Amino acid sequence: MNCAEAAECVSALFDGEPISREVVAHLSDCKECRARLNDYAEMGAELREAASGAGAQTIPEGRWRLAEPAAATNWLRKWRGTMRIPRFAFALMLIAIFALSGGLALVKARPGGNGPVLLLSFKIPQGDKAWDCALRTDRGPDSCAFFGANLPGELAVSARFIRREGERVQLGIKTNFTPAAAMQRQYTHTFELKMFDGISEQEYWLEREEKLNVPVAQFGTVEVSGEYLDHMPVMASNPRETLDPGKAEFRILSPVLIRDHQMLVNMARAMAIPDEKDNGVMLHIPREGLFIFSPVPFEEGAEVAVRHGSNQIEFTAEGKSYLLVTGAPITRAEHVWVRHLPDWHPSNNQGWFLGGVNVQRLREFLEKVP
Amino acid sequence: MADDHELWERIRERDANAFEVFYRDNAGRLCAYLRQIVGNTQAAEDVMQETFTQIWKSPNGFRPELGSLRGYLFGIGRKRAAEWWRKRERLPEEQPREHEGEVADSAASSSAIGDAFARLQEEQRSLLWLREVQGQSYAELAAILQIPVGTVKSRLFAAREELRRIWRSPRSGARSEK
Repeated sequence: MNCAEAAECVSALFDGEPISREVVAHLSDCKECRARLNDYAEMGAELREAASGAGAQTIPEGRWRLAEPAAATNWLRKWRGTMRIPRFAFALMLIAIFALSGGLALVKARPGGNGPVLLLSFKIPQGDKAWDCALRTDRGPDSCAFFGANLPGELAVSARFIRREGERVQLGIKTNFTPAAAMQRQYTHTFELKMFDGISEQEYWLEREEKLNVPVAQFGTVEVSGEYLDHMPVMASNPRETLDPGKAEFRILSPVLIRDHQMLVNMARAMAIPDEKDNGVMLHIPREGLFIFSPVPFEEGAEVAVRHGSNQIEFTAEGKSYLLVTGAPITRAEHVWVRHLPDWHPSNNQGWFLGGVNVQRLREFLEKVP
Repeated sequence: MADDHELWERIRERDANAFEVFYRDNAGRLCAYLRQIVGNTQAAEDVMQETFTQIWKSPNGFRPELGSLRGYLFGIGRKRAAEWWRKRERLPEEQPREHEGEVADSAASSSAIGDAFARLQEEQRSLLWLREVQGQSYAELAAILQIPVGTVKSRLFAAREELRRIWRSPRSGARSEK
């Protein structure tokens, strides 16, 4: 054996790979091959030393999180775990619809015949307003709830899936209506699941293609209908909503808020659509404070452009860059106004919150919210 | 292997905590490796992030019987880096290339060996980096580079010889004779 034949084996030997006795015998007598082995060792050592000298690089925050609704999942899980939506003042909010273990939605869902998801529609007696909430009927207990304000009072409804027998499904429904005259604060609305405590649940059988009449004390009869879908709709809480925002509409759906490269919140399936009495949306994030977004100017609000098909808002606050990305276009307007109150936290709320707000009465709201 | 399998199952079940552990354990090494391929820190970090995002979004390509999870990760990273180069090469000539002149910006480039190392071809650089610095086995290198183990052996030898030739070359200035 000569050096040329043994050379590749020297490299393998250096890596701890097995080599033949013939090569070993050659190495023991060959200065050139031993020099090669020594060079390999020296190069490797220097390379590792050089690499370790540059090894103090900090690991950046993983952007993979942005591709995942983990925060929202945890958020929903937290709600499920506590079965309570924290008490929070909703300033003149039209709706805040929460799915405790189901989805909320905005885009009209396609019926799937015998699918596992039941989309319930609750039509109130006043006007043509209706709210929807979706329940899974194939995974055991499931429930959903909604809250409507700016009615002749406040209406909260929860629905619980009990069982499904062929074409019909058994539901447990609780309702809670507070007339306007009995509301302690006219400028705020509060919704929490414990408002259903002490209210007896009424059980109903909902037959396919039939409607239920659910009486609500002091309010009237709510008409409930159901539709089976083959999937949990992404946006199910307002079937009349379209992907394009209305002419004067301003809405925040499934928001993800990013600061620099860090995701602050991912509220998949959450939504806020202010009505004609409100003109902004507020987003509260624990430890990050309150963010206000509005299509109209308001006190201390900074004007920013709406980007990329109007589902992104980029803004700067306290010298840091923020990017709000939503699940659907926010507005047809080209500019919105944004304000961040980093130190504002409601004393009795520890969770995330998304809701409507009247920005002209923002000061009043901030001062009076408990 | 069993740990890899368990971790992979958790990742497939969308366990964000498990993936965060996976990310923390490997992001630094992967980024250092990718620097050897793409030649600069920023691009390496971008490719590294794309690599983890791809795995998180589509956790369906790892086969424990064919190698380690880290090997799989580095293999994906290597492919993403190759895509990065392809995109970069498609840039119009008149357009300034974002990372022009930064190819030698590697962790080792400020040292004597680094000068020689930076002159190697990308394939040899990445192979030596994985072996010498990150300690990947022949089997892992074979999985990452998708070549037979025997080819790993011969390519490592060729890379070492080329590095040695440059390192010992008087004109390289990379090494003073002892």
